Amino acid sequence: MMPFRWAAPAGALLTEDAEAGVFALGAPVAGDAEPDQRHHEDHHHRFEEEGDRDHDHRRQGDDEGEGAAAAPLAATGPVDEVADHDAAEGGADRGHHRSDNPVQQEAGDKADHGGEDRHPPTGRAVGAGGAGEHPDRDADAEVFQNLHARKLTICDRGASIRHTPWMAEVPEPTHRRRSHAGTRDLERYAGLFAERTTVMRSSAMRDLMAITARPEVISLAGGLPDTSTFPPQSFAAQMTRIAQESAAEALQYGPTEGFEETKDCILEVMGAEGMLPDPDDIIVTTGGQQGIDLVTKTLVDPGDVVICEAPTYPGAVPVFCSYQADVVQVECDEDGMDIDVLEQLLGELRAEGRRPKFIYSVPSFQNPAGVTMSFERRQRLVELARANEILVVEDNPYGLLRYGGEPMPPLYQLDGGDFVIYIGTFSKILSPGIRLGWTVAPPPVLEKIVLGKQATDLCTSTLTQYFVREYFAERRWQRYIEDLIEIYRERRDVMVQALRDNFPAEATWTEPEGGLFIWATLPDYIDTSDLLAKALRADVAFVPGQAAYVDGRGRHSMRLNFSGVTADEIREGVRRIGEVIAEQVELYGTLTGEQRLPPAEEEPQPNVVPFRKAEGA
Amino acid sequence: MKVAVLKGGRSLERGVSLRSGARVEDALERLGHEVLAIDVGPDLVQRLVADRPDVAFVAMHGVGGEDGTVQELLEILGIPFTGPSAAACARCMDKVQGKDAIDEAGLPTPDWFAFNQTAFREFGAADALGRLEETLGFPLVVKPSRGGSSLGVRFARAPGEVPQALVSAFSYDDRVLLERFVDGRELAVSVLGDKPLPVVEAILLEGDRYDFEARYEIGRTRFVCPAELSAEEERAVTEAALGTYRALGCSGFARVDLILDDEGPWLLEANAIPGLTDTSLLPQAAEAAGLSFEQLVERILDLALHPAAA
Repeated sequence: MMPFRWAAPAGALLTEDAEAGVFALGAPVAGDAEPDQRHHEDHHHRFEEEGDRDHDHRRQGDDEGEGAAAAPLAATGPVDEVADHDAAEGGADRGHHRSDNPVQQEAGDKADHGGEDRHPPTGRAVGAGGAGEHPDRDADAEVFQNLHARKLTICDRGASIRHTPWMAEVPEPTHRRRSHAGTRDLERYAGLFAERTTVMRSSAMRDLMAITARPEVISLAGGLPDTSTFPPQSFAAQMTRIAQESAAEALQYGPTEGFEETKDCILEVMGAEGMLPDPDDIIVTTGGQQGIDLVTKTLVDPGDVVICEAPTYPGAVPVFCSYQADVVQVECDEDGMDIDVLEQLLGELRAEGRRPKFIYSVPSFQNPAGVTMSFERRQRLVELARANEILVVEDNPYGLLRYGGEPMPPLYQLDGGDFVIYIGTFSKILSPGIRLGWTVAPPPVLEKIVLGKQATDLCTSTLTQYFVREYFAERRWQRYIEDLIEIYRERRDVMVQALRDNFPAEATWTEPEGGLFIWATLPDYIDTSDLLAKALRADVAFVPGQAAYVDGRGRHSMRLNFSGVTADEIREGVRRIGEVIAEQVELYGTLTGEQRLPPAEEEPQPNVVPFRKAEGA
Repeated sequence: MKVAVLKGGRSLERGVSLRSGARVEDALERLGHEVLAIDVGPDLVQRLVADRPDVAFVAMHGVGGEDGTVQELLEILGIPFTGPSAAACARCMDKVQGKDAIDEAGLPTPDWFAFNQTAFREFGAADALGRLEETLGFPLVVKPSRGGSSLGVRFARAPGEVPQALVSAFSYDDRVLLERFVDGRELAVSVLGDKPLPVVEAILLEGDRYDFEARYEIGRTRFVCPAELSAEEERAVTEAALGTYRALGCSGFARVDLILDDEGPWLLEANAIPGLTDTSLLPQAAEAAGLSFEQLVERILDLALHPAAA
């Protein structure tokens, strides 16, 4: 079986709102893909808006500007030693920020600013209940009121900016989101765009996915964990403790690699899956997504080969493409990536004198396919990597979210960390909003990754690292995951049952033992992108399978998420999708003159649907 | 002047509409108008009645905003609006109606047949497909009758591919058309107030000309404006476009899409509310004619308020 290849610079595009799973795809340009699998079969309608690229020139946040510019590329070490220009101005009063009394502290702040009263007194400040005392509800309410009052004050421009001679020449800021520079908008900038931006595009499909955000739509298109069960009181208490005990540090830059305390939490999480890495091999990243970016940045030159699964995590593809990688996808079946195909591919690449830089895999509860790589394939994969001296990038966001079956050893554990780079995240076991992930890599690779991260964002949010530290100190993180597992297991079961009840017999789907997604494959005359348009009229959404391929395949499949929706929504959502599928099936029967019989006798065609046939269907 | 910018809505082209709308709002503000931005929803009529704008700028695409629905409401409320009338919008939106009107006006449009689902479900239209395919030949194009962008447009190279193409097209509308494929240069003529703007041509950057899908993927096409046409070709193309504009009863503005082959122009359709984003064709054509985006917006408003000025 020939793996498909795809030349990134010519093609395009999947963009996903990282792990949120909201995506969009544009037209892949097939290097040598099968012609009948190309999409956007647009002929006469080329003049429509499909080609509209979204060249929004939103103003970049400029708050990072100074710190970043001031940062020399030192290999390691806390950022505040090398990059914190505040240290020169304000270093002297570092000590007093440790004050346990926020009220006192605020007074101190005012004194530092020469008595300029930027914030009129607003009553008690955050944590005014006193150090160590947890705020009760009333106190919380008061805190919010105070914050509100303060915000209003800050917004008063005249009060916070002094008049200087050059002010007259600076245009007044407008309240518009953005301001177009007049005509020729695109032309003004297009000449400045880097070559790699040609693969970053918008498309009609992106617009289609935007509609899934309508409130009345039941969206099975997301990839959101359920954060609604995290107790707000705990969150408030943890953040309050940080404010009371570590405000200055938590608001400061941190080391590029992340805090040791964060790494201790990471070691606990990895330990729960049997891994025991050296803390020095870990870098804390801004979500697992940044890990994918940094690894690619470190390893890939334009034209280098990156191997991934087919289908693959849609959010990884734009990363590979933005570094102009040549992405090659290897078939998955219900036991994960087909290692025979991989081996054959490696041989072919060797014959062409090309060595792929890395193999990207989500071995457990894969996004989007929901499949888990078998033990035997895991062993073969790490052996292959070792024998060929290429790296495996193991992305394992869902490993701890197992609802059934036997745990599998991560590739990292099997390999010992020589040829496996491990990417983890707190997104699915705690919160995606804190943007905390990590990467474990062999020391020489990690060193380059650290340099890359320094260039990108200096360090991961100190504040959320403090939050994780507080959260783990309560020793309830595993309990919380157990709660999530209960919730997700039920939702998975509900979805599987709903699929059995509502999808046609020709359809197949995976029954994942964990993670967030089910991958369903429909008869080959149904295109899931078109189906989505119909489904949206019924106020339900899913992700068309094409988004998970770089070569236009996946047209008959869809990704369904069960973690971010309630059981009722799952039942109703799948019912509605089933209804629109049934209409398509019936119509096709009418068109081909075949009366569709009760399909008990019909077998799914081999190779079209590589995944498990649902029992009971 | 108080201008309501209607945008968004529930159509599949909501995204483009929001971008068109935002750009128009910017331009209107720079022109010194009071802008009332409305993401069209169930409260549309209430808001229009309450805020009483002097004119409505319709920056909506697809079903609801481009098919005459919103225009009909504005006509009932007596609020002048940009672009074609409700009736003209309805004719432009529906490719079958549009082709009928073009054909009746004696203008060339590729041969076609239109079917709704009932024809297949209740009258066994599938049995007529063979005859139809003989007439049109292969490849043929299958399109939803009312569909925006290129959504649901499919090619069939052989009889076996027709049913699947029909299923795709029927995903977007209950009526579809099967159309003869014309192999030629793809041109778009924007018309502003009864006057044609410079012609835009879409040119394939690379690839096999008979490799249809690959030919029309994003990023492999370059738009050239004004298109390189001989004086004779240009006259034929703009005349055909203007004829279509009139045949459909358009006013204000519209964009006519056509294909030019050795026999001359073949008219495909008119778009009542072409995109107004920074990569859209109408603004590009206006610019080639020396009109800045502000000037274009101002002119469109003028045409809405003083139709006779066209």
